[in-house]
Amino acid sequence: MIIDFCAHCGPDEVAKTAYNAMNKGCFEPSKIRGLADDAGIEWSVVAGIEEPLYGLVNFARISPSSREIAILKAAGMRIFPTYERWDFDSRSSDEILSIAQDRGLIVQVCLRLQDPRVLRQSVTSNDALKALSDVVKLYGNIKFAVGGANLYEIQAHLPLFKRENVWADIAHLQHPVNSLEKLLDVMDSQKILFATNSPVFYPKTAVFRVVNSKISDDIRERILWKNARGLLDA
Amino acid sequence: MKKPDDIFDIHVHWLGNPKLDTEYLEFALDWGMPFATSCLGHEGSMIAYPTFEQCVQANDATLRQMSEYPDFVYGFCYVSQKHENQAVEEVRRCIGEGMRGIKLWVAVKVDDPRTFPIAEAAIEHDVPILIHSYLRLDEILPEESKPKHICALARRYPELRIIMAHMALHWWDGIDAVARCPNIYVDTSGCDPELGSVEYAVAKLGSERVLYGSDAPGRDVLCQIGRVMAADISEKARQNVLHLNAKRLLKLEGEQ
Repeated sequence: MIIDFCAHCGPDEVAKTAYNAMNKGCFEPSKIRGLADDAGIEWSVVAGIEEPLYGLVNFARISPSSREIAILKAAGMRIFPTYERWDFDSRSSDEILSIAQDRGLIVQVCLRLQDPRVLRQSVTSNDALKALSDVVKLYGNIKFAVGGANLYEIQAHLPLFKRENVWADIAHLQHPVNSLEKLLDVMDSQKILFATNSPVFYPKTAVFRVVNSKISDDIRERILWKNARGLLDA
Repeated sequence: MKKPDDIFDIHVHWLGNPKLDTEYLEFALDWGMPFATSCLGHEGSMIAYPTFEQCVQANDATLRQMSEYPDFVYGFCYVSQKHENQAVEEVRRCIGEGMRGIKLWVAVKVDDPRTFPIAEAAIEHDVPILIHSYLRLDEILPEESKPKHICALARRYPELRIIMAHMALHWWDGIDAVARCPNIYVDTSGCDPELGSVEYAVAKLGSERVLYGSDAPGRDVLCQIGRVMAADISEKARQNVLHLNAKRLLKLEGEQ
């Protein structure tokens, strides 16, 4: 079993910024599923799709101006605080996060879709993580899944990633050599989530790296699906 | 996806960082993956604007690694065009001691006339030049070569073999820019494993002009190899990318 905790599909305005000639047609839910099937991935967490599709776990896609939070039925919500400016001290942010907390929603924080040298962020990942460090304390009952951080950012914000209510995905763990093993040196293996950033990245590449990393089979299973299932089931 | 049987990494750096250098070397030995390496500063930092002495020290570090792992580590000579005649002499020294290529980074744009004697030395010794290239949003390195600068060099010297590193980061623009220069190859190193990037390179350039590279140890090798393994290309094309092109370019066929 493999669960991809972060794929992108649907008519998402932020995800659209990562379109190119090769991936543009792949953001359709059925295409995402096709890519996932091909990579051996059984479930993919996506956000904002209009119709349910087997194999896709749909989170609500929430922007700073979202109002649909009141009616959402999803298991979680996805935000992009580096591409959309979030003022976490604002009343509207508090309303959104309070509802998430009351309803037991997972809050997925996606920091990057592409290398910031190619796709500009309006807030740096580092600044978003600084802001998030306060937010996770204020909303201690929310489970936060942080996606798109690289190893250096995780190391620089270790107190955040060591909190009981914070998980990290590995889609953008691209530096340096043996980065997954190095992440396991600093983070609890039960808090690490497999993710592909598909269809911006190849989903098969993410599987290849976990399958071939020098980690125990027990940890591999946790990363590939057990941690995600535990988080989603909760 | 299983591990590939044959693989050659065309783009590696010896950093002078014992931990990272050792980790990469152990990985390469474990995977039976010979590689081409250049040192851009032998004391743990890569030097964009080196003195001539720093280039010599960096190349000596590469030569030491080559002598420790013969037929496995293949050196590329790091020079700065700013050093003009000295740079050419350093190329001759390093190729004479067994290096297989030349590495140019960001000291001077490669269409600058100071690059020409180095290009001529590369032709004379029949070795390729690996040229860094990034198309990035913010210009932070004023002398960083763009694909258009590499094309200008390639057109001036059609017999020169050039590897444009990183597919220029912004890969579809980078690949498009060099498509009409048959003496420019690209390597897949140093950029994220974006869906379709390898397929695009193979479709536009032909699989004979695309080489697997990692840019390790700064990059995670598994993510870089995984990109080529994930690509929807023919097995023949994948073998070209993974190792055959590099062996042809470095004239290693029959040596290994």
